[in-house]
Amino acid sequence: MPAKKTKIKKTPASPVESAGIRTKGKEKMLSIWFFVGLMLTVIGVIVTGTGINYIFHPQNATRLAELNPNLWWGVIILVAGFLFLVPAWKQHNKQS
Amino acid sequence: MNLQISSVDWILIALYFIFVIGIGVYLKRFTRTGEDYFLAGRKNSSWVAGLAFLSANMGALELLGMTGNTFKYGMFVAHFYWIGAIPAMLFLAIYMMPFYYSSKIHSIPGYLKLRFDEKTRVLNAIAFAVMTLLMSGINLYAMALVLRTFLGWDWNVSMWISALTVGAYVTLGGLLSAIFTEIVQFFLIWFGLFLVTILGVVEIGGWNQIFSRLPDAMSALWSTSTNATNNGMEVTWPGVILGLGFVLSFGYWTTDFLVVQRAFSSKDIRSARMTPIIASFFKMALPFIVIFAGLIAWVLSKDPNAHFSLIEEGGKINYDSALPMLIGRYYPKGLIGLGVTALLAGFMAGQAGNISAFNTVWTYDIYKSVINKKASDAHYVWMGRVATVAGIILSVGTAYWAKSAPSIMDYMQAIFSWVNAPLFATMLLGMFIVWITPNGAFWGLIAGMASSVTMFLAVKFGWISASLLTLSKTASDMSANFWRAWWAWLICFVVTILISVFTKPKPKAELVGLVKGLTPVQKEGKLAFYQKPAVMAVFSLIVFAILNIIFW
Repeated sequence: MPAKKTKIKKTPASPVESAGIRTKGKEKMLSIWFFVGLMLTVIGVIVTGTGINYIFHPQNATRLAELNPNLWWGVIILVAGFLFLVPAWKQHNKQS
Repeated sequence: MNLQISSVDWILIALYFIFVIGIGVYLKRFTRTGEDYFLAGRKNSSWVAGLAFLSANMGALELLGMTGNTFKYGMFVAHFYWIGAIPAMLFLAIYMMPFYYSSKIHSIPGYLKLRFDEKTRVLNAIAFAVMTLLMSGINLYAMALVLRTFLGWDWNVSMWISALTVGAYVTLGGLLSAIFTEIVQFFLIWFGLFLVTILGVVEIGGWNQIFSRLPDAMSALWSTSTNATNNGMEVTWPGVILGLGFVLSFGYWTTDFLVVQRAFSSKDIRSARMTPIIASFFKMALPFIVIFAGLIAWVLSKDPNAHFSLIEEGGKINYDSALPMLIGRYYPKGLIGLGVTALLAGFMAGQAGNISAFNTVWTYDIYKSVINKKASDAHYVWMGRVATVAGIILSVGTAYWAKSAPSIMDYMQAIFSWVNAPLFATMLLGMFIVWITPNGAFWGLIAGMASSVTMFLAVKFGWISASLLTLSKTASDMSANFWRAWWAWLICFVVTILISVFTKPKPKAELVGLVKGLTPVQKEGKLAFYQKPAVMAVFSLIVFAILNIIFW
């Protein structure tokens, strides 16, 4: 795990620290925050999708289903995913 | 079968498996040296190490078990998250981490070798390796049991698939893979399970509604602890403070290599010290999932209009079913897949934690120390990968053993008080008192471990009454566990001191950097307040105090 910094982590990094592990001369490791963001984004899309589906095909099989938790919880996951993914991706491209 | 899984849920679950194996494959090319494989290259920031530190401890079994315990005992269970964790984590950060980190060791037994001698190290390494493999096997068994009960999955299939997945990514990427998946698990657990609490509070109608419907014995942390019969757990406050708050908690958080290894992976000493402090804030937050879900389940089960009850098997309530039953109650399809993935992630990350700690201790403290002292770094990395595969196979073996003889689960519950409680006495004395000798540490550790096992067996087979240990008339399993840990710690502490008085200490020159008083204090330089471990530890303590007062 390189000591690479994204905006999510608040500690400032020196250029040397940010360099990360380099192998084969060039390749730099993606930070964990990229993977967290990627995963949350994918899950967010799927869960939000089921929420949108509920609007057209309501199925009240569970308690409080009328609140459509899939929709708003899915959107929260999606937003969290972007907040990790975008800064981590920018940071990665900036340094390599 | 209790939870209905639809195709979109299957997609979510399948994505998780593809994702973690993908991480292992991706990380393999960055894992070359022993330092990379066993300590993730010592390049982690305090946030990465901190979240991994917490996640290594936060297994799915614990989430299910603690929610179930809350259903049984009420708010009292929050002691496991607050007094049973926070003081120890902060103590580790402030007082112990400097000695651990600056000696550049690979493992806790490695510290014992430097501070004491080879025999103490090997004794602890073997105890730790056995304990970790047993825990790993038990976890696997418990996971398969849960998946069968709630999803109707085949026992063998779910066990082998998860064991092979964990084996694959740990073999490929070592500790780095384990840490990556632990952090992924951290977010999955929050996004996958916190919604249960939110929807539970919405359905019941607010926090105050929940607490007003609870009996006194279930809604308090401390006010019911003066008399053991007033709280469901049958523990008095000295039992909570000495057994849980002091010995078990300090023994676990400060000496269990499974968690401490995460702090060793951080990039510098300040990050290493911040690791448990960052983890402490998230540890304190966990009751908002676990404890509240347990209380919500209890309140719903007493409300005749709610139509909610836990699973009963052969007339016995399955308390672990509290969380899955709530998931089934509130989660429509899509969210069910997320909830199940969160639990699976918890199981597998716990498994990966056990295996990555095991392969390090095996390779450095048993193989390198006793069997093959002078091999190349590449050879030890190879050995670590072999140990990972062997560890997975032994875990699966243990899981089948547990399946054939479920009573061994009782022994496993007690295992921490056999290994970690005495070890904490050894560590404490070793780090803070110069004249503690190698022989003192070795025989103290033996006495502590032996007495703990003896006490356990004596109570189990009825040679002595458990109330002899707990110093009170009633004695639940839980309080016997707390008190046994305390006595084992005390015996190790006293024996270590006594033998040290009569044996020869190590020369002081060899102890520089390992013992307080012989170690120069390192200046931290100019830092913002939120980067200073001491400041953040005080902040953490304040939050800890506020939580205890609110729920007093």
